Amino acid sequence: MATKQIIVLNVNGDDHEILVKPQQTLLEVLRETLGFTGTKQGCNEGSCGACTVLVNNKPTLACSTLAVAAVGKEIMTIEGLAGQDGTLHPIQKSFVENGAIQCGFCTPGMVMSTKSLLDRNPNPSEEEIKEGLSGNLCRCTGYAKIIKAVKAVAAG
Amino acid sequence: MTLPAFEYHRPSTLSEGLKLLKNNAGKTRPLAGGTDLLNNMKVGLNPAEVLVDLTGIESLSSIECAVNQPVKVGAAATIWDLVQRAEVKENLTALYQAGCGVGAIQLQQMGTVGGNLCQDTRCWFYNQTKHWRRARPLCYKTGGDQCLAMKKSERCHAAFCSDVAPALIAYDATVKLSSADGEREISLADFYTRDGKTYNVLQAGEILSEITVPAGAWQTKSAYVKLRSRKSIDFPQAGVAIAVTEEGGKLTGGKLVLTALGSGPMDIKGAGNLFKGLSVDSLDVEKISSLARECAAAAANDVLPVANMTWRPAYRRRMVEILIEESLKKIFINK
Repeated sequence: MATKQIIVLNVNGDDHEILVKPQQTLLEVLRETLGFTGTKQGCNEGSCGACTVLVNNKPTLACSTLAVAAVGKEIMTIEGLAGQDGTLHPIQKSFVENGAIQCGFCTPGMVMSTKSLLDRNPNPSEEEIKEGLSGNLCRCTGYAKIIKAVKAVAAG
Repeated sequence: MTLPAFEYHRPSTLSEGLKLLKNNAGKTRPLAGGTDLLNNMKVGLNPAEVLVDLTGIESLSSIECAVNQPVKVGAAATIWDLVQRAEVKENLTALYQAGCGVGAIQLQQMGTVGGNLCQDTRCWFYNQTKHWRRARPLCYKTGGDQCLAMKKSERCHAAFCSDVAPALIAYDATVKLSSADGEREISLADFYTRDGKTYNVLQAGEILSEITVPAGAWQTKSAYVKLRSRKSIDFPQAGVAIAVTEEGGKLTGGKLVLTALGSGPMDIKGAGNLFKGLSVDSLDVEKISSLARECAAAAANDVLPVANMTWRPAYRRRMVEILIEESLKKIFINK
């Protein structure tokens, strides 16, 4: 029962061949096997959004997804957002410039949800931004600046 | 909390999946979005030695949706993919509002329609870690012989908290149940038992495979309103779906379905007659208030909130009328 198996996960455009147990979540494998520690473990029960990554461009809670179920899909983590040379993605830049980061723990999830929101709707209203990020909790309650940062990046 | 060990299968055809479920009956569970099952399993609930992932079965993810035609939804289609369709958003308002009310965007994009309908019932004494639960005696739902939320009760009172189910029942939706031995189709209302422990009629090895919303749903006016602590993430503390039909300016019937106020969704039988014959133009704020009062009175005997979630049963019961009033206002005033 539950024997380990070799799977290939495509993370940020690169294929990774790894040995996993079926019960390992995508979050565990990303952080502990592949070292993508930008994705955070918050509540680990699908409520806080800190572990949000994009799977086939859909915002997905890595804590509630099995790694084996992500085979054959394109996974994007916060590490895949910046350029190869370390240049920040416009969303990351806007978060920095607007002070939308306090402790920083929710930030990777917030940024990935923002990417998904802006991919769907490049010019969201404030209400749409709030709705788009409603699955991400900020324990510092720094929402005002996060919304400001999303507005700024949407405005270009 | 980490997941316990299990075997994982991802069949690509329904027959293969049903065979796996039959061969492992009693120790297997179907997996789709995983948002309910996996998080329950982390705390030692919903035990399974084998998980059969249904998301690889293409036919289970299909959605047939055209105005004035029956809507056919594969059980593994995501809530997001169904409710964000322009036809649904514009015409099947209660379904759209219920889908948007599920958790948050991540949960709507991961969670499936079938998974939402089959989600486990919830209770303060049940949705806890193994260690927390160990400090109390077993309840009906965990294999004991008592309900910890309602002492001396002969059944489990865990609450059924789906948002999508009441909306679909308001449209008279039916569901197809499939197993390796065959298929059967029943109304979604009959899918639920109102017992918190065995809350639906699925047999071992059987899955809910397809949902059908009849063509008549396109002619309804509908709304879903949900009571919860925050505007996102939370499960409903109470929920109301209403769908009414109209002809020549008069209501010809309607349905009122409640959720999270008992162990199953409640289709309030007397509500249809309360709507029948009302002139749409006469439904101003005052008339809606009195209609909501009458509907809440009709529902009073069916509603049984118990002290197993954040807000007190008396408050949730009191809010039924307010939620009905809000739903009616959404249908007839705010539009």
